Amino acid sequence: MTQLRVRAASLLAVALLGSSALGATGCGGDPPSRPEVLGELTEAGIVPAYERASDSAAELSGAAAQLCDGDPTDADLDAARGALAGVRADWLRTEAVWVGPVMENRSWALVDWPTDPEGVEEAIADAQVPISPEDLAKKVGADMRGLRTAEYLLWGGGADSFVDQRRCDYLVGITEVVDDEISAVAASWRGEGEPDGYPAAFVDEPGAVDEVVNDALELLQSMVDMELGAALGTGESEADPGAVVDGPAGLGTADLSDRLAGLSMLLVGDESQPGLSPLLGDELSGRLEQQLAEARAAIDAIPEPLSRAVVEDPDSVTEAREALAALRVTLASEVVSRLGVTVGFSDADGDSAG
Amino acid sequence: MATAQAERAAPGLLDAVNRQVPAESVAVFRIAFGVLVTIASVRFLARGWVDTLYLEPANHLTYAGFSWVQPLPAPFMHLVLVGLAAAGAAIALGWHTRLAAGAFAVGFAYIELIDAALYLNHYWFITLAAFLLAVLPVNRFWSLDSRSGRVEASPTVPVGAVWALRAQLAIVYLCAGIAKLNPDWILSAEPMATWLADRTHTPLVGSLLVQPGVAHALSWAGAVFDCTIVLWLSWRRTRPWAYAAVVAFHTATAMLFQIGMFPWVMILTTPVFFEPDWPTRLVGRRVRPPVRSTTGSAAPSLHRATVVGLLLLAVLEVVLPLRHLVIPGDVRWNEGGYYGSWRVMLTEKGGSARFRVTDPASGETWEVDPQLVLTDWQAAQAAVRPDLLLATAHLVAEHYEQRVEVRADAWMSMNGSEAVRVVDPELDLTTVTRTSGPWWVEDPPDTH
Repeated sequence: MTQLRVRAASLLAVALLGSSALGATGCGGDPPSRPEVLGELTEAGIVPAYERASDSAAELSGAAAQLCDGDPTDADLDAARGALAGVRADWLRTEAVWVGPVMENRSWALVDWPTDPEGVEEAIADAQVPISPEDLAKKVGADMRGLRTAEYLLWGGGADSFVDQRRCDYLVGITEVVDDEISAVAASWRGEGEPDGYPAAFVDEPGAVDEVVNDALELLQSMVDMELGAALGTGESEADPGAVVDGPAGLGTADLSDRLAGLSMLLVGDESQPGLSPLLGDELSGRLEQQLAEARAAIDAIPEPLSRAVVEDPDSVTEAREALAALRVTLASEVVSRLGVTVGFSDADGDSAG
Repeated sequence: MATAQAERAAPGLLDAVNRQVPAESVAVFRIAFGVLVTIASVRFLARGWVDTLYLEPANHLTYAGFSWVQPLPAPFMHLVLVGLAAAGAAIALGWHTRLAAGAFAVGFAYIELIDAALYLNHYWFITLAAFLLAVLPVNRFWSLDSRSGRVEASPTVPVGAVWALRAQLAIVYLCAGIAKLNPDWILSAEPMATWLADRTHTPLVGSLLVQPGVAHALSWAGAVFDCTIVLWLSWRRTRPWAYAAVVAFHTATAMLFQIGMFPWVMILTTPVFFEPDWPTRLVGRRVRPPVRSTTGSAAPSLHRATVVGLLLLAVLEVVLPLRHLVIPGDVRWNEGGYYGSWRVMLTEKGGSARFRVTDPASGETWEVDPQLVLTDWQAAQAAVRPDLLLATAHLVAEHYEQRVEVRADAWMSMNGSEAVRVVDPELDLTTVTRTSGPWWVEDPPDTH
């Protein structure tokens, strides 16, 4: 009896251990873990991207101060406009990784929200409205500050328009606020101020990959449907060229390129880091690179400005939209499946996966 | 001749299933089940899922033929969950036990039938277990029913009741195990490898989960466990070890995956495989409470109709998981024959779905997202489950007042495979009936 008992128990143990041992022989390579991949992405990709945006914001703030330092010249204005295009490009290159501090602080809205020109003009015209950087940071809504408002002011007239001291002060004020806002985000990503700062929390966070992939999907959804699709009239509504974000600077296509560059940094990496590609495998990463390149080329082929191209050359915009849509399909299907991402962060139970 | 043999055998079978055994293990099953479903119902309410899953969606992805099952308006839907919690408590206490179990089964089936996007295998198990508790004589021991004299107390139950509960658990394990015997699970250790890669934060064992061979080891161990655990639980000599494996296995799944109450349901109901008097053996016979017999000594029994019904249910539960064998295509991909098949945690899918709507009168075509008619969580399910994609296409068609054609630009990837189209983009999905099977679903890229 005892022998039988021992034999049966051994059988069970052998069945389980045997499967473990056999399993150990069936392994493939030794890919890096998710925290390792996220660590490298953070250190060599995300943090430098936010730092570049922060540096550019400081340059814009300096250029605005230079423009308003006495006699505004066309060269000063050109420099300020160039600086704004620079910070806008660097900021949008972070959009694919708008997770953590940028969401918690609402920096995404405070830095880059559609402007309210009438409100801005009223604030400038009313001498009773305080417009120091501190006041603008605390008392003014997102639609009267940020990069779009700076763009409105910088492209709203020639250098002589900044002879108006309050207009100048307003510009200087909002560029300082933008600088502070982006600097704070960059500092959080560097982990400054707390021993267990955001980078560590992000790298070790369960679901961090879900978070960035969902963010990337949202970004593509916005570009494909809410902007280009709405502008072309692919949905139920009539074509609405105003759906694309072009602005007085005509940065619409540049914006698309910069946001795509951010996606590329996240998915397949850049010269400094490999993005999520170690988790995706060579074949899928290669296909993503190909799709990113096709989308980049299609965007580059759109004649500027984008808002006019939507009306006058819709085929080029359609081609870019289709290239981005193809990228979205790969992201929503293969990347999601390969990484086991829960789309939409449902907190309900599941036992079927899928 | 065969009929005569069957007639002779039937009384023998009836006698066999009505052989009396101690009622303790069945009583523990009932109490554990009641407690767990009460907790599950309260948890459902506390997490606000009545609102987010039932009341907020403008439309529901109903099961084919069950579109008439719709949620009640607030606060009645909340009251249904309150009622389920109360019924669970009544089951545990043994108060109007069988009525409570029947009410729970009906109420639970109702909320599960509302939206197929919410289908879970363990919800199907809970529905069936509640049904069994409604038809089996589980109310005559360790129950308020017996203490109050509402039913005649009995320290025994027909052994058929024990068999029925064991069979229910056995079917779950065996079907789940057989379903794991597929190339992805066995050869590629998918989707286990994908899931483990995202569990490195798990305390103590996190870093081990992504070591070479671990995913294969766990995949194979899972398959071996599911396929053989009933055998080990049924064999008296291996039973304690097997139950320890049950506890370890389900505790591990509870730690690694968000599968709700399922692990605890299995851990607390599986002891029904032990000897029927295991609770009193465990704590000693002296503490066994006295049983007060009120009206006589008639032992509970299973009627012939009940036995026939249970046998038919068992046959149904074996046929349901096998029906995919006669449905064209891979059930893991097209999900034809998926519901009620205990295909638990077998695939990791990603999908993208959009629709092109055409007004045949004007020839005008436009694109819409599934979110036109669904919430985000429903749309996420529709993108990876073809039957729900078809249901969504029909909802999109119903959204418009005039007749429209609806075509899908839908892509899907399974267990990390290359994404392929789910459906011919030229097929008007309004011409496909939901009961016609998944003939319209394109094949996966690599049909293992």
